Amino acid sequence: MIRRTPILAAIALSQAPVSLAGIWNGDCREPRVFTAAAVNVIILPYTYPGSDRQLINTSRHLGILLQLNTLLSLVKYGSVGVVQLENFEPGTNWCDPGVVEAKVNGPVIRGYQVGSHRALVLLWGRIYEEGGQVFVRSYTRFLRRDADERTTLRIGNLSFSGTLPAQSLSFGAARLSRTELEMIDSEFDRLITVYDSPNGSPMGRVLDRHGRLLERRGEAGFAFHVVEVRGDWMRIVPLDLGPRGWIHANPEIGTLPLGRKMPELSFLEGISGYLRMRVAKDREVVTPPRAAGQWAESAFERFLRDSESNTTPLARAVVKSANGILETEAGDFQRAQRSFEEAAAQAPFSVEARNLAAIGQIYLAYHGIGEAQWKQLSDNLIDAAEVDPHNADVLLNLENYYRLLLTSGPRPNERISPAELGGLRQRLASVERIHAPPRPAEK
Amino acid sequence: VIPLFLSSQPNIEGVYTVDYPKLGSGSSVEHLFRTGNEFQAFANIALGIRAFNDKDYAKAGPFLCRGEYYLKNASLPGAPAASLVQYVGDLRKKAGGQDPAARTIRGLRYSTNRTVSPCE
Repeated sequence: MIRRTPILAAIALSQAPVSLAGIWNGDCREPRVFTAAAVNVIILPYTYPGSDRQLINTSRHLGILLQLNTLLSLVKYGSVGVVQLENFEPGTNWCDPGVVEAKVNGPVIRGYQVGSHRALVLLWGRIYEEGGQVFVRSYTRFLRRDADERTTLRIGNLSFSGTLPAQSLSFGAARLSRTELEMIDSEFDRLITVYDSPNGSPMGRVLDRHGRLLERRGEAGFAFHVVEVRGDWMRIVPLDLGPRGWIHANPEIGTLPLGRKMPELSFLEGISGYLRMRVAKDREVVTPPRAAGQWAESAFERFLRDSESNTTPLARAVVKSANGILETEAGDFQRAQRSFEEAAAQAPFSVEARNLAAIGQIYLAYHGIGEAQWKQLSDNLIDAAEVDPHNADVLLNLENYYRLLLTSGPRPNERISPAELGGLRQRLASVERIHAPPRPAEK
Repeated sequence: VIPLFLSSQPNIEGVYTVDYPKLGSGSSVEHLFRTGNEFQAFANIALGIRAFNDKDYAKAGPFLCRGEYYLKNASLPGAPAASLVQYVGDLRKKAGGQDPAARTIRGLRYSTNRTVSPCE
């Protein structure tokens, strides 16, 4: 049975003006996030199904290391919460990403859920052995509550929309040596200690060696605000009970920061920055710093550099498309188009990536940029639709492009013959038939 | 690893279980999916085959397209058998042939000189 306790910290979660806040040892059975935060990142436990004691410890410790690294990398965006969850009933599915997502994105109860139009990023993974070597593999999913990742370009009264190629990704596995596993454990020991000042004297610990809270408080975990950052050090103040002071937040594995060993952390930083910008556009939250878009782009570049060939075309296409969407929102359409075309080149099988590149080119063409002829612009959308002939975005864009040609004609210096106009009307009718919702079955 | 889901009744479970014993004790199904590319190739092909078997051609086409792309371009270990690549490509074309929307879309193209499918 789930033990319920009156939780001051949890009440504070919904009320505190969040700049940067975290929770250690939250309970998957009753996950809580910072409702007011523009972006919440949840680090779920990395599972390890075997019996190796060291790996069992590593799987417990890794979540804290990842969370601290994430807190430090996201502090610059502001209005971010980073929650690390534990499974207090091993063997159950309480920590399955879908289960947790449904709870924090579900009906608002006591203000523990993601706020409307705010963003959520989930990170989870597995540790496994193969051929005497240990691998860690991560997965992510990201979304905005009550919103999608669509971007819209308007030409006259017609709109052209596209979205990211994916919002769930798997990353390549990182190999960990035994020495590196030991380093994770020793780093954990160091990082959970609270100091009186950066590089100062230890004052106490929050967790025990197994990653459990020393001071147990039901399912709430240890919730804290980050009130100051100096270099790799963060000063934390508990929302409820617990130690306050400085913690070191930049784990290193050997000579490499954790982010280099696990490039998915750079992706997490990039996608959080992207979401932070998107949330700020849609909702009244604290405005992100002006450089947030550039920081997101830099983080994405680090991800692509550090993951090298060990990443999928889909992940690369998501990175490029996210950059393109931010550039579109910033009004830099030519740069956005380069990003969209890079995304489509990375993942030609992605209807979404091809669609973004196609509509970007149409938009530029109608603003006097680019050489593509009107038939080529149409074929670009057909290329996208061929990948998935039922994709609603690309079908609507195709319809609207035909409407644009029929009402406004092609760009200046191009002509459409009367016969071609007749063909366009037929094409429009064909696409509308595909796009039309199926008729209800006859009784 | 040559997946065995080319059996007469391929299904998604086949991808995850039929190969499993081949890996030997102590190995994990993760072996099949050490890189994201392998995961994408096998998962998309498996889902595409399942949708095809269910006659859900609208779903099968995009899955098979992605799977085919990964199979051909993802530098999978132990180069995938040519027969597998051929099989997935043929299945994708069959799915497209069964989907009226795919046929309509193909007919809307102006240019006739494109030779490479986005799935290749």
